[in-house]
Amino acid sequence: MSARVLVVEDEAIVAIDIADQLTQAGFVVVGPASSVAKALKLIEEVGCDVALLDVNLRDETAEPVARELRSRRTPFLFLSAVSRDHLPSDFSEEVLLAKPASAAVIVAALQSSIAGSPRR
Amino acid sequence: MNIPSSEDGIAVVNILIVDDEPKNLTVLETVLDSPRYRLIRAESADAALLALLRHDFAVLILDVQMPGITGFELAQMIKVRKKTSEVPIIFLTAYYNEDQHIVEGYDSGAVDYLLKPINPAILRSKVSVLAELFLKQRQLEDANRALSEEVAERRLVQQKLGELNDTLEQRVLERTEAYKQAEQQIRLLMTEVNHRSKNLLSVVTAIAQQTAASSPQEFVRKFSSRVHALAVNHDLLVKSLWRSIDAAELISGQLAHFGDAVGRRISVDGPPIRVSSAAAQSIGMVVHELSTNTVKYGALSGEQGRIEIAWEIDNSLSEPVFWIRWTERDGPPVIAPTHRGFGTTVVTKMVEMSLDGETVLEYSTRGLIWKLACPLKNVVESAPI
Repeated sequence: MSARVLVVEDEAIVAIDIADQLTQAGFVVVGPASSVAKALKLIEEVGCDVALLDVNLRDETAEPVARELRSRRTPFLFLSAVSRDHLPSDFSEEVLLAKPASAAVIVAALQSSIAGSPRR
Repeated sequence: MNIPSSEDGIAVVNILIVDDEPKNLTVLETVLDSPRYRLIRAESADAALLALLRHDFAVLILDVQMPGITGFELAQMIKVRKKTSEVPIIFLTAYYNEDQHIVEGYDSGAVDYLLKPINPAILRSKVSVLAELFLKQRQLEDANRALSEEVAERRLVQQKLGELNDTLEQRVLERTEAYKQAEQQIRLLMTEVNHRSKNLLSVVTAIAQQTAASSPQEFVRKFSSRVHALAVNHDLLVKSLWRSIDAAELISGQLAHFGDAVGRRISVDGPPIRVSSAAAQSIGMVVHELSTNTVKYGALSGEQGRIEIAWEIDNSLSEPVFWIRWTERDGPPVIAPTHRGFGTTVVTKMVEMSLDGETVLEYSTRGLIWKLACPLKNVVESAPI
């Protein structure tokens, strides 16, 4: 079964492209969600096996989404232009992919996140 | 005080000669004749006092025996006046040659006492010494005054220097503080610029990946044109300090390559709206894709076609709605495209996602129509927190 990836990204053009690339790589894309509210709604109503989170969304950060995913033991990784010291304090150990990242890198990171997940 | 000088530069001193007998004064003038002396005659005590008020004297030569006030009495009057108390007096007399009178003469402040007939050489010598003393004293006073002035000036300079130094130290402190703050600001700015550059590179990468083309040449042309559209938007955003862009300016910026067709064949009309930087990027890209399309297939591919671009704010609903419409007319017959390329994605899915809105793309027989409606708050700059 294909893994479901929640994509949280507020830059529409980037979100569309990532969704495209992930679909081509065999993932089922959930979203993309451009805000915390939309992301939380998708987690609740659709669910996902792994998530790819941009850190800075329009005028908020993805921290509440990361917190929700952690409480559900769903693996996730950050994809952002910010440096590690700008990550929410208790998420500084999480995987952080630097923007711009190639599709191959994102796909590999997502697959290793799913493989390393305690749920599997 | 200035010392009067003769024409050839020798210092000249005033000497007051007092005698009721003009003959005696003439004798004194003869004896003391010198370019170094200016002799002033006084034939009475009153004339002598008057002269003392008007001039400074190096020496007074007084006849002791005068009708009315005696030389001694005159000397006493001279000694009690502050201005004249220091002037040395030489008494001359033919009769008062006893010790008693000599003592009386010295008591009244005389420095010397000569008996007539006077010895010209002795008188000249004594006067010369006193004149010299007078000049030396004046020079000393002048030097002293100059020195005091210099000391005062130096003190003033030192005080000013001290004040300047304090000001300088204060300014150095202020500058250092300002510099530190500026450095901090630069660091923050660099972080922000880095962040934005990376995001922009992500956008550029996404555009590159989404740009489909049948040949490398076509790819480069399409991709460059899209990157150029981003650059135009960036210029406008930087101009407005990355805050917001006027809607008309944003749209006109993307139409600039049409030159004078704007206004003639393209109308741009709507109320003034400050579009947020995020919304500006999406709307700018939409206008770019629509104008690329219209030149190739739409109204501007023929000679007659026109384009109307209009936007409006609808306040009739509980939440204000922004809508914008691109209407093409009188162009060549419209043929709906066979496949949906990146341009279509930009004017529909991308802008819908970005502004949380809805779009309509109609290939009507009269010309292409594109419409977008979205919450106004997603287009305008959010109120500062």
